[in-house]
Amino acid sequence: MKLRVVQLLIVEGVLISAFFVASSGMFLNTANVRGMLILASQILLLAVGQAMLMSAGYIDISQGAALILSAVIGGNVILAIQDVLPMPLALLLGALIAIVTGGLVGLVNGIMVGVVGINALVTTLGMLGIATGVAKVVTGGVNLIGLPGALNTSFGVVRFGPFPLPFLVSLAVILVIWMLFHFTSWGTHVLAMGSSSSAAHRVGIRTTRNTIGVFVLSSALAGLAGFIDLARYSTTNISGHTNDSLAAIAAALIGGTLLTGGRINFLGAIIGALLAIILLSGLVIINISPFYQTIAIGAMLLIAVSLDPSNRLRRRG
Amino acid sequence: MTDGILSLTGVGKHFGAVTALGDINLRVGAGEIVALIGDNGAGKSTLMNIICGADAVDEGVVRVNGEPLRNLTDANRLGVGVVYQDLALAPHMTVAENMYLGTELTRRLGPFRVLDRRGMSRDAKAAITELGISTLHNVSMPVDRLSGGQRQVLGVARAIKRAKSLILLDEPTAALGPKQVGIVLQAIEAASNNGLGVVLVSHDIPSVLKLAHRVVILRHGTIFLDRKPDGMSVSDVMTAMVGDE
Repeated sequence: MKLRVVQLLIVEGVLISAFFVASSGMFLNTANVRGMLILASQILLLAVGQAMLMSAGYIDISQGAALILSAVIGGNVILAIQDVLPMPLALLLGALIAIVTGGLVGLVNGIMVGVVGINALVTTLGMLGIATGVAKVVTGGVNLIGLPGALNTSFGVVRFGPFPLPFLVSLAVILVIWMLFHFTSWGTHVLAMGSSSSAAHRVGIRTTRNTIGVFVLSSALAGLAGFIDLARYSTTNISGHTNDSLAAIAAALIGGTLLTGGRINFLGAIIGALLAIILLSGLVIINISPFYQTIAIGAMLLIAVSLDPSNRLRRRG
Repeated sequence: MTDGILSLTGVGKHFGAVTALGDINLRVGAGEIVALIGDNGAGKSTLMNIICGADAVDEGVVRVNGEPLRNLTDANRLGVGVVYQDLALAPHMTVAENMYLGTELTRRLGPFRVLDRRGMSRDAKAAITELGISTLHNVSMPVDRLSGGQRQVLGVARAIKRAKSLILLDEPTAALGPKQVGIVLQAIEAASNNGLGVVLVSHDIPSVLKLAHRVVILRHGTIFLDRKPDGMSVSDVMTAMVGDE
């Protein structure tokens, strides 16, 4: 695991150097680094959520849709109450609603997978369509306008030293989740479910409850990422984020979390998410068409995963 | 006959139109080793799944120490330790983590209770040493790096550690060499001497005849024979298992 992190850091060092040279130094200027860190605050949350699900033997391709829907619902609540409640309270309530919206998306996913017994890929594929559709129905397909500037100035662009506040919030949330996995039985039970669901069930682990719990937590992280999205731009981005799940899955896998469950690597997921962000930002800054971004992320996923023997299918016969 | 540790009364199980078990009445006393024997399809696995709480009965009742056992939660609460045929281990987790899976030890850290990983490693090592298992000295080793035999003895060690009233063993010596078979059989005897009821499913008839206090032979989902093994030969058991077929 440590070797994986070192390898990733070397690759990232090479990429940073290449983009720095190709952009005549612009890649590492203050504004771009800050932009990358804010983007990181969202992708990190999604990557850690995805890593949690993968460690339990599941996957979620509806994260981007949960993010959009959470931003839309949270934003609408802020619009509705900004003139009624004091601004800090309105923003706090908006954040809470965004997180709860994400959590509700996860609750539906978790019930469909854990109780109804539908495959996680199929469930979240369905949810991808539903959540995206609901967001478009609610907004009429038009991004929200009229959100208070305080959303941006009191959270989205606030910095502590070189670090944007959303980035620090994401790191703090990830630290709490790491502690849950490392210090509590719940984390052990989630990993056991990914390692062998039937074994976990037979030793008395409440697999249905934990399945729902891990989906709710993961999607609540997407909800928080949705609120960060609102705070960054003071509007929604309902046609964006379609590739967020791809980046998150890639980050978790590249970081050493097993697709088949039983193992999670938080530091790896973080470093993997940073790799995706370096690629995304680097391609933009050297003026390569955004269309190439998904190609780069997809290629990064395939190359990194194919280098890891544990992720390859074994052929027999 | 007293109810003892385990009692099954009128237990039946159906899978669609097929009757897998019918009118099973069985008692296992404290310290008693009961061997369940039968040909393939006789109903051994179904009966074991019912006794360990993995499957529910369609008829009748299962009791452990007089309390009804209906599911896995009941089984864990009533102190039923199980060695499953597939061992039910989590391959990515360590020996110590598997020993305590679902019953993790915790310690106080300020206002919180956190996993006591050091305590679990120490106790897992002690439990394995106490059973005389010398092949599992590294409890930090992930299970997927253990041999089949090592996994089997881990499954047995875990079941014995968890069992407070009853231990169920489904083919506990299937993947073991002679030395490890000896260790497992000794562990079963030790569990019996400590007052645990033992239900054992095994195809190793000679060992069963030496170890068991009672032999229960299932045929076509019903109990065909329930007696002490004294005077029984392997051939007698085989004949009782398959009849004239």
